[in-house]
Amino acid sequence: MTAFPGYPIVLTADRTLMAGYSLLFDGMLASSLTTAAPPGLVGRLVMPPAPLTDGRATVAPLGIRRIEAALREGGFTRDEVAVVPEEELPRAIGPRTCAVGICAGEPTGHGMNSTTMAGIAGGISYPHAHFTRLMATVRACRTAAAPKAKIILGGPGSWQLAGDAARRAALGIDHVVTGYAEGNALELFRALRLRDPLPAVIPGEAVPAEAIPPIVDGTTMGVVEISRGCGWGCAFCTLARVPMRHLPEELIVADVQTNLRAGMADIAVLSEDFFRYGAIGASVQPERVLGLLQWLRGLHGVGLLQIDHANARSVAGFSADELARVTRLLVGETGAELPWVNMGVETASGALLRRNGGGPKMGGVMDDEWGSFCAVQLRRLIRAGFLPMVSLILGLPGETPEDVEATLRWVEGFRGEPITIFPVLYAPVDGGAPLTVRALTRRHWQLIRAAYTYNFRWIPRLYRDNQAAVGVPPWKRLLFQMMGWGQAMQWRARFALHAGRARG
Amino acid sequence: MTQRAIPHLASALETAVAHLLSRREPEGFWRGRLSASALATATAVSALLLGGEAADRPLIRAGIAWLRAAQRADGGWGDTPESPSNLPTTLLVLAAFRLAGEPDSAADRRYAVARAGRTPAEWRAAILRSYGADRTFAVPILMHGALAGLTPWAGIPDLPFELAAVPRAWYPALRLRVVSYALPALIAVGLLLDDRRPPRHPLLRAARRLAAPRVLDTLARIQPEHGGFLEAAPLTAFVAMALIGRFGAAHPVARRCLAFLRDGVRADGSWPIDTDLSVWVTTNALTALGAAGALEAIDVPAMRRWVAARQYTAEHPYTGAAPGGWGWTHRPGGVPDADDTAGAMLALARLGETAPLAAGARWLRGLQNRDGGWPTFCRGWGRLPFDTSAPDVTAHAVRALRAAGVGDAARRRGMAYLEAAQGADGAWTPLWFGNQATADGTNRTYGTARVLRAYAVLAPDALAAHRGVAWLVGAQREDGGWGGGVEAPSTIEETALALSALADWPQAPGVAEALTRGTAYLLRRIEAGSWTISAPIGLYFARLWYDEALYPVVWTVEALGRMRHIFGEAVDR
Ligand code: SF4
Repeated sequence: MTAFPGYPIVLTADRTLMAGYSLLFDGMLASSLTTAAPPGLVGRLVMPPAPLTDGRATVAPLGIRRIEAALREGGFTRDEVAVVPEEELPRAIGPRTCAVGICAGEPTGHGMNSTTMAGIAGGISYPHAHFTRLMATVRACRTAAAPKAKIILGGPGSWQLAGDAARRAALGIDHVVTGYAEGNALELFRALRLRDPLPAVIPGEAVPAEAIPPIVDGTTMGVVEISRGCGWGCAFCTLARVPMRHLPEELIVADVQTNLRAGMADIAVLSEDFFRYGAIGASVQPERVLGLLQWLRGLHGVGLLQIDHANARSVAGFSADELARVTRLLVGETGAELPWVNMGVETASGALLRRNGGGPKMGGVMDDEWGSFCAVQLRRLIRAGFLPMVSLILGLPGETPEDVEATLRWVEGFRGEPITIFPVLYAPVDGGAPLTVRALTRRHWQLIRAAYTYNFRWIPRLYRDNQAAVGVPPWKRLLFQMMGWGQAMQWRARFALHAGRARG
Repeated sequence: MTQRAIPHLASALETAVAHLLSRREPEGFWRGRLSASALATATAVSALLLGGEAADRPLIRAGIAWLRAAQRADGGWGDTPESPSNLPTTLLVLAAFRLAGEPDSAADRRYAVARAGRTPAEWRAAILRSYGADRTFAVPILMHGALAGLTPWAGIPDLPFELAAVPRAWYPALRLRVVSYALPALIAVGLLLDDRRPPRHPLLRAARRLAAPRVLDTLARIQPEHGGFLEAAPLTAFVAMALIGRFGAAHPVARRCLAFLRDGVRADGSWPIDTDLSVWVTTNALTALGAAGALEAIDVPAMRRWVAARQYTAEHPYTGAAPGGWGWTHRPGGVPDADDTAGAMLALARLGETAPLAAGARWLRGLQNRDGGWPTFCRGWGRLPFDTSAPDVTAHAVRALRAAGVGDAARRRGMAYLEAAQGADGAWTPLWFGNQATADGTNRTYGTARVLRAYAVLAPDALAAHRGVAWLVGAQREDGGWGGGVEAPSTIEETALALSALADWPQAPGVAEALTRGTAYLLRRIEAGSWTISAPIGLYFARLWYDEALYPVVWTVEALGRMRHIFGEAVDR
């Protein structure tokens, strides 16, 4: 029997991006954990390997699926392009392989979430650690079976490597593609197949939203995108530089149906601002959002619909009734009682947010009203049945002790309400040095501890509720609760330690 | 003229403007971010090593680690992390390793060996060859090599530092083989070479003994208070190394140089080639926001004040330049130059601030060369590139004079220079920008685009303009973008500049289609989120490559702003 010669094009990502998650929140949890949490438990419980079909991944990050779709549309056959997880790489890479495409989420650990979690909990963030492990596997497979194959990297974290030739060389990466690349993926992989030279850093080229190719197989967590980009200009956000584009409903539905066929009943409907779907300029179109949700809800087999981000300014454009209808359509018949949504408030200080490019995000809201405006919108979401998940940024450039104080008071104002609040440490998007835990003041720690008082209370409930809604077995739910309890203990101790050391 | 609307142009422009606004400093101006430089890092680390302060050890270790990580696959080092290896940078890094007591392995030396040969004498010869007649950079590199024991002292050309003691007005007549900006290197490196290899002729020895205190005074006088000459880590480090080599680390000028270097290190252990280009990027950004109709988003009176306050109001100690000009940075090490002065004048005119323009125009007129063109810093200092007329600088200067409404004759002479400087193919070659992907490293897209902006306002019907437009249209690539020349891959920077230039000739043959395709290229890159990655197209002193994070952003805002006038508004859905 002759050995399998490998697929000409192999696409892969690290475990944190292609695990067999049950919930969207699992993916968020995986990206927040660090190696301080026991790898065995995390690997088995939070990010178990996804099932395979013929050695191929049944689920993969949406970015990989889009590239796969672009290549298939361009004439590559299923035998020429394979999406596989890390464990399958030794079987997928062979002498016939000319390119290994990698989707990277957190290749250097420079993202705000990674730097925050590593700073607070110690260890290395799992996305970073798993990416490093994946690259070692890819390099070893290349050396062993396909020495001439090129390693080409793209994905949401590719910006972290675009300006770092040394790290690229150390990781063995030949080319980095930045941004969406459905527009030139075909041309690039054709060039790689012909072994034509390509530059080290290749700018991705987008296609119009109507021309985005529908996926041909399932995505991790059943993720589909309803819009791309944001373009509101916040200086601390990589999406600030990409204008928002809405995908046509037909494409979204086709992607959901592909996921359903792949066995993914619970769908994550992603956007940087869910409530802005279909907006004309900044003016939201609630009917279009509701129409889309109705269409999705009507598809046979759809379970829980999960969303991620929303902006206060867009929420404000929805009536109480419309918000309640959104919640009902998301939950459907699953019985979930705590659908969540993440809102980037960033700081209660409007002046600070504006100084950091947040003007468009704030819309017409006055600087000194930003905190109360957000609080009003959050409470409207709560009344509509959501569990809001707020993100705050500590240490934004120009932050004063008064800004911290205002945000602390703002956080404390939610005592007793169903809410979670996640403060992260500022990290510049150009890869510059992030704020370190050591630079935090006592007031910062007070704020973090106040926020986590809510989180320790509500995250276990959210988990229990959402897991029951998507049919996670009771024993597994119990294990999650126990792991969460252990994590909370560990985090409480770390908070106390850091706060004790913090400067005045 | 309004052509058929391009979908999504308005929202792409909105995003580009929002991103540019978000890059402001809290005070409202733009600082930008220059790429990290192996050359600056190697020289800064070496100067700190020679300074011998124990407290500098962590900086040195981090710098060496950064250099190790920045080594390219061929064993050499390039100017920016995205630049190909070159011999001068590689030798400077090897010298830093030597001084740090780091063994340079055969793997470290393989690029230098392949490019220049095995022996130190061959390396020295290769360095001298690569700079030709210009000693500005070659001699300090060889001095650095000699201090590290990497290359010999013998054979390093002399630098006649004593000439810095003669009145400034005589400099042009002396035909120096160093360029005007390098006076500190001429003095400090010249003094060290004089010490290591005293001249044989007794008269010259005596003259130098007499001149030494005087030139040292000059050096101290032109040093900015924070210690950094021209805000440049390499120049400052060379001066520090030379002074420490000659007088020891306690020399006050050297001490201030080291303080500047300590201040300039980045969190990753590297140094940029220069602290920043704050005035240049700010004035470009203001002009771009003006073109995009987005000035209401900034505090215009505050920015008027900020730009006006950067105008030099006294003779500059460094170049002896008269008051009235602007430099590239708001920091103390800046020096007035024609390109930044023109940029500031155009921005102020955009902001409706006319008071400082008269002095700026006077300053520019005083700098014009006899050939009608403008040099960068000093009129008629010598024949080396930075002191002779350059098309990009000249085009900018004539536009600024026009904005000030003065200098008819100077403008006419400037345009005559531009006509004479046009290449046979219709393109212009700039001084301060290049492209690593073109065969000769030039960036004729930048040059032609900048010169055409001058023709658009001063002589739109000239034959030279039409030849330039035809060249630019012909240089557009299949993907709709432009690179540094016909053969170089498209970049955001060059595409945006070309579009801005062609916007003035929408009726010329091929332009309408070129604008549509070029705009589509920009929009594709913006929607992909890949439009803010900068390319190393900037050329610093001594033709060192750099990239600046704000270039793609600023020029995209300007280009899309101009396109919006041509294609009109389209409501984005
Ligand atoms: S509003 Fe949110 S997604 Fe949009 S740019 Fe600001 S932080 Fe980024």
